[in-house]
Amino acid sequence: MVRTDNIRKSFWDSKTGETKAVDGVNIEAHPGKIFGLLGANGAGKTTLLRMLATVISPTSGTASVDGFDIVKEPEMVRAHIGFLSNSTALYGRLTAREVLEYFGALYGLRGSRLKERMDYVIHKLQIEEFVDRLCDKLSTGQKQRVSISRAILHDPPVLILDEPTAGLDVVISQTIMEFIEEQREQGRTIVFSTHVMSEAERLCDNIAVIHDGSICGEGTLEQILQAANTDRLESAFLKMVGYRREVSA
Amino acid sequence: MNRSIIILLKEIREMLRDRRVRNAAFVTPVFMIVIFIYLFGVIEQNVKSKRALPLAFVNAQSNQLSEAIRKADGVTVEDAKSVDEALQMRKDGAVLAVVDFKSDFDKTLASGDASVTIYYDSSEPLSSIAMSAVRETVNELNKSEAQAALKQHGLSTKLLEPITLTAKDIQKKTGLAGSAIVGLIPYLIVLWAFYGGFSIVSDLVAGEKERGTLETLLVSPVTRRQVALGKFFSLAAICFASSMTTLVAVVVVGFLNLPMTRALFPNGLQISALSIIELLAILVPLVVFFAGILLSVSAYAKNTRESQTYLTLVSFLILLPAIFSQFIGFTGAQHATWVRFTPVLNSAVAIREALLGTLGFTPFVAAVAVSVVLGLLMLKVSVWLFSREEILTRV
Repeated sequence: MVRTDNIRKSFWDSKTGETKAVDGVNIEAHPGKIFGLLGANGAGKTTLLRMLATVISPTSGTASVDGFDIVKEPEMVRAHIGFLSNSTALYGRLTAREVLEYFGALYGLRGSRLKERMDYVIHKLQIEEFVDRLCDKLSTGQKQRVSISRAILHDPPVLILDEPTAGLDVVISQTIMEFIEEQREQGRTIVFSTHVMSEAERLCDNIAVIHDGSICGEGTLEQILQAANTDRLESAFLKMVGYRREVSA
Repeated sequence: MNRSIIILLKEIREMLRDRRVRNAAFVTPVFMIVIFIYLFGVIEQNVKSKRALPLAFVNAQSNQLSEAIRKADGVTVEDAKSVDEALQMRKDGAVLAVVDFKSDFDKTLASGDASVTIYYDSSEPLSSIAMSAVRETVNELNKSEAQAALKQHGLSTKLLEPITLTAKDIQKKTGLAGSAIVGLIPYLIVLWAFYGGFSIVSDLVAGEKERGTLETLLVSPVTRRQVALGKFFSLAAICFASSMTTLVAVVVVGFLNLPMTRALFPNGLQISALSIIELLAILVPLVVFFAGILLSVSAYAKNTRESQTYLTLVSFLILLPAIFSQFIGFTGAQHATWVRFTPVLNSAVAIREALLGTLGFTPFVAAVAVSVVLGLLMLKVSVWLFSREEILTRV
């Protein structure tokens, strides 16, 4: 389970002053469910997910991931999550197998347990064919499959996925969405961010619309549509973020 | 296994697979040392070998001095009609110097009042050598003339040299004493201790930030401190290995005893076990210091481009003392207290003395202590930079 408690994050810059990237967000994601963060670029999705992954700290408020506090127990939080985004890359001069062995060791997997998990993810993501090839030599799709293998290698109860399909073609995106659905079936808690409406519609059990760092709508797909009095998620989203069509004179 | 060690081993594996690192940290130092030693050998051999010294004579009647000069080693003579003609020959490069005996040379020689003028170019080493050869012959002739005069008056020829100077070289015939490249080796050792790491460090943090692999690492359960330490010690290992490659190359080239390099090691290549221990003790904290600087810059930079810009500036600060160490023998400052406490310079000077087998206890301790303090400080700075959010967000 993932729960945030009035979490905030501000960045300070000498030119622009203080920027509130996340401003008092409260969300709750449950095992066996996909929680979707739907927002435009710069809405605060990545900052929120990075705080959940403990790579940055909240300015105030906190969150718990699988029962561990992100401020007080960051290493335990990271040991219990699988994190994947379009910016989490692989080491080009290592083979896919070496990448998995490396992260397996960092997650504390040893001996037969490491071998068992590696065999599982290699078979599950069908990477046998290129597992001994350098990551630099892999195609985008192959790399993404290795990244997914890396993210679930330690069998984490929580998956945090930050726009995992951004920049990928429709076939690779399909593979990733199928993977996310499978992970839900296995009972993992999944927090998934996207700005693609069709992905949110297909995958998410609960959706939170985030804009300027704040949640401006939350619920199931049906509840969101009902609240916005529309039958299209895109229209509901635009309404919630206060989009107004510019009319030229 | 400790997570820092897991990271260290992975970094070293990745670095060694990078052709740029292999070339910059290992191939280039070997190549450079071979080239340097070869060139030094060629220069030394040329300086020591007898070479032709073409001279132009003006007003050279057959006299005692001109005959003596003609007989000097390597001297060949062309007669010119006037000083102007001879100077033109000098300008054209046909001769190295011009000797003008004056028209009344023979007459004045008999009266002990002869003078001769030599025209040479002090900016040309060979012209200066030709001038020295002539001066030496003049001195010899003066001496023999004076001896003859003394004998004629029944006086002892010892009056010419009432004081006898005996020069004894007290240089220890140990280590690389007497080797012309002993000033160069410490410079190259220090140079590659820095540049070995320079070749990879931008990739190590700033590059990982750009490619997104740093985020992949930071979302695993490792602490920032473990990441910093793993990267730090892998970088220090490469700096150390690159630096050692230089020394190994010197040893290998020295032992090969090639004709061109033989003259560079007049006492043979003798590096004692103590010298090696001293050298390693100086080098280890120095590479820790360098690794700390390099890693801090890379951790601070937004991207590899910014990292390389900062590193280029930093490299000047690091390498200036190293370059100065080559010439410190000419300044007389090598034993000054400020040298012993100047980072990098003190290490280079101490390495030179270790190779010569003359390193004292205090300079050794000072060099090690300064590098240890700065190394620990830079390690702390590196760990602190990794603990900041900017390690990911400053892009």
